[in-house]
Amino acid sequence: MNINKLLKKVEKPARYIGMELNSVVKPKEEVDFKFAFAFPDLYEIGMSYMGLQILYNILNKEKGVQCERVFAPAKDMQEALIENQIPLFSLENKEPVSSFDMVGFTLQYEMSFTNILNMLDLSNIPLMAKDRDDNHPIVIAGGPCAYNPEPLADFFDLFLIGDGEKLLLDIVNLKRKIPDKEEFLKEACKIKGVYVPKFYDVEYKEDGTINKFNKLYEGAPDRVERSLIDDISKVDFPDNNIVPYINVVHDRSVVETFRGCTRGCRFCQAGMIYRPIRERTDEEVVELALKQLANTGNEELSLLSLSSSDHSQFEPLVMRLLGECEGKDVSLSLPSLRLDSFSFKVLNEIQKYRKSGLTFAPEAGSQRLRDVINKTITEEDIFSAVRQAIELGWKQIKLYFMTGLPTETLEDLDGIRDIAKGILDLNREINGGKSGRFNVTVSVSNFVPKPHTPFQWHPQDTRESFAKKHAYLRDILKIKNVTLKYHDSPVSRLEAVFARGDRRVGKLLLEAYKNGAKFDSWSENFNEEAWNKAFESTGISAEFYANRLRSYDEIMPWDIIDSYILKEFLISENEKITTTRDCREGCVGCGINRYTECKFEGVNL
Amino acid sequence: MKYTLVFSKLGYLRFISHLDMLRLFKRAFKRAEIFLKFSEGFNPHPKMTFAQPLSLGHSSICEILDIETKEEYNSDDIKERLNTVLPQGISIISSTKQPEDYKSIASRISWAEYIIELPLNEGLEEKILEFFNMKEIKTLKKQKKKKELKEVDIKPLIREFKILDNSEEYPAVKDSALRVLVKVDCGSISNLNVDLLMRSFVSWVKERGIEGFDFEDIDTIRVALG
Repeated sequence: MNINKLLKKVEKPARYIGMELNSVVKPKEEVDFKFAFAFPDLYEIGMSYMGLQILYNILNKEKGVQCERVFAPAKDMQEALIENQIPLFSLENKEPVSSFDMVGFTLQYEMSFTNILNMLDLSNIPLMAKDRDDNHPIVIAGGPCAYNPEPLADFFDLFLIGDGEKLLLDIVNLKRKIPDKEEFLKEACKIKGVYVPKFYDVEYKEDGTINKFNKLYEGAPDRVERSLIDDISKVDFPDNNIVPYINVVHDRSVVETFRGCTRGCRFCQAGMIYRPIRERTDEEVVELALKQLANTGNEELSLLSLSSSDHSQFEPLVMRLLGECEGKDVSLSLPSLRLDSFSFKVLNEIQKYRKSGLTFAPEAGSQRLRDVINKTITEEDIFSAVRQAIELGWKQIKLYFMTGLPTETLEDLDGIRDIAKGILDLNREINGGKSGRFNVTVSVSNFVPKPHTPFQWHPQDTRESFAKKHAYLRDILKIKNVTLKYHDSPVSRLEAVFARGDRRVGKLLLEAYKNGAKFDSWSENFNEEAWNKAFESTGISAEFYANRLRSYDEIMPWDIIDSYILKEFLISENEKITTTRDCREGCVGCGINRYTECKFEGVNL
Repeated sequence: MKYTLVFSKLGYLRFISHLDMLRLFKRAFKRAEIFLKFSEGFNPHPKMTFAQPLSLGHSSICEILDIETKEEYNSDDIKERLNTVLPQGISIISSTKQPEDYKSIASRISWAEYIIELPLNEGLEEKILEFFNMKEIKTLKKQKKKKELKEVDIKPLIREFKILDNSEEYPAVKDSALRVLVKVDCGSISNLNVDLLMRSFVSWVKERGIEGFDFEDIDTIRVALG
């Protein structure tokens, strides 16, 4: 393949060349299995994703296996590939994706799904699983969106559900042992965490809801249990991350401090599907961080978890990392902090000169609604934190909210204004009546009900309702020094369709792709026309999937997946209008401890 | 302590930009545990100066980087330590300690030499000779301030050119090619971008009916700076 000529034509050719420090190219004669890790978005996005680095490291440590990367090509590269009839190629050895034994896509967000089809197409791999045979790679997927695999069931040979570190390697090694595709799939589906969609047929009722899943192969499980790693420090975490040449979104060393979350926000899928909390000790985190910094030369270090401050040894850990970073000209970045006095001390230290904005996520404007969604932050928490922030010199406060939450009324939206106004007042009070260059950014996203959460039965707001609420917010937030940001609802509605879609929405995806939809999460590329046409030609109703109140006895498309969280727990959480305690205060009965030890259950009792 | 490093940029690494090179070296120094001096101010950055940024896509065997370190190092040690941590494609050719009053070479560069590799298409050799021997080479150039295209004669900026005979060995991208050595003005006073030169050659040659090769078929290697 003469790709040199293409590289001269495109913007940022370094997106496609590989060759980064710590990327792996094994001698050909030592490789018997080639795995392509496919990220359905641009290099800059994919290389900021830690899961890629984790799995790349694990696969390449396996003797005989070569894992290579492939990303969605940008528009100019796409055109150049097509014009020169060059198939999509991997970064490491620049080999066609179709020449790999297995291609694995990561499903991070629904709006990347059209890019998956596009990447398969550019690789000359048939899109539909049924059109592929032993001459094609096995095409698999994993990641959070695989918890409802059904919208993609037609396109993938198998899905991996849950923690991937051990599971992916098991699948790769199984395929090396059993080259025959059919035989391989029959064995694979017996492994916990593996879903082979073609071994099931879905029967629908007249009203369009699911009647039942019929098994087409008796060896397949009735429900696919998620893969769960009891102790994450037992699995390999990379200490020699790939170092990109070009600027990527997060250009830094990252150590995962823990997986899971004990807070139980009712809208949050991650808070449910990654249970229970599994920590790395502070010793392990520091050791990994130091090795990574030495092996990469990175100038920034960040911690990865759903809520940084919730690590049981957070304070000593941060103090040690701060000490280590100081002598090395490395800056420490701590995302999703709880804003208590310790955090301020640390933030003040690490943002000494350049104070970036300070972010809070109250998620809902009123205490009533925050109770409904089990977001336990109070107005007092917010204002006392903001007071400290202003006193320490922060001039930019960012607030994250959702709109369209269950039971939300305009009164709850008024609460958003009250919080924003309260912060402005506080600033004036502290600064002797002057506002200065102070700014509050209110960022409002549209609520998308997610599978495996207490809110999975809820209708999403209609487009009209979102439009009304956005207009209302625009109106009440016409305040000097307040900036409102919100997203268009068509994209949120598509997210809702795919988040809770069944197998039939695969057709919608295929049609939209054929109509030209790609990079749907990039607002400048979003092609509403392509989607509208696809809805029309397939007769699929967005309302059925997005805006319908589902009943507790309805069979959900994702019921084929067992997340280990009890349905009764989700129902009782959905029914409650008061908060549920953090499970560190005592078990809340989600059911995960039937399968593994909850080390933090009731520790603060 | 001041040092001048000469390094090469070859293979796929020619597709990383000048800005990316800055980041690459910053990290390489950290991995090699060579501590650079930092500038003062709110946003301190390490003291590194590249002479004449190389265009994206060009290879080179003569890139110059001046650095200032916090402590003294043996200059061969710098070369070795960097070469063990640099990615394949970038390697330090030489490292020289400079006196403390040394002024970076960056501002004193006035010319550059390139090997241009053209495909071995029939008739191209004759055309390239004809092209370089013209009295004037008129081409459209974007004006720095106005951003308008203006016709300029770039011939005076070409100092030398010759067709290389393939009996000798040269740094190369292509296995076989028609190789032309050009020496052009380079630097802050007078500068000729070789890409501009070769683009005007491609369109000139196309006007004369020679088809089947594009600008993207040309490879460029910087071989000397002075």
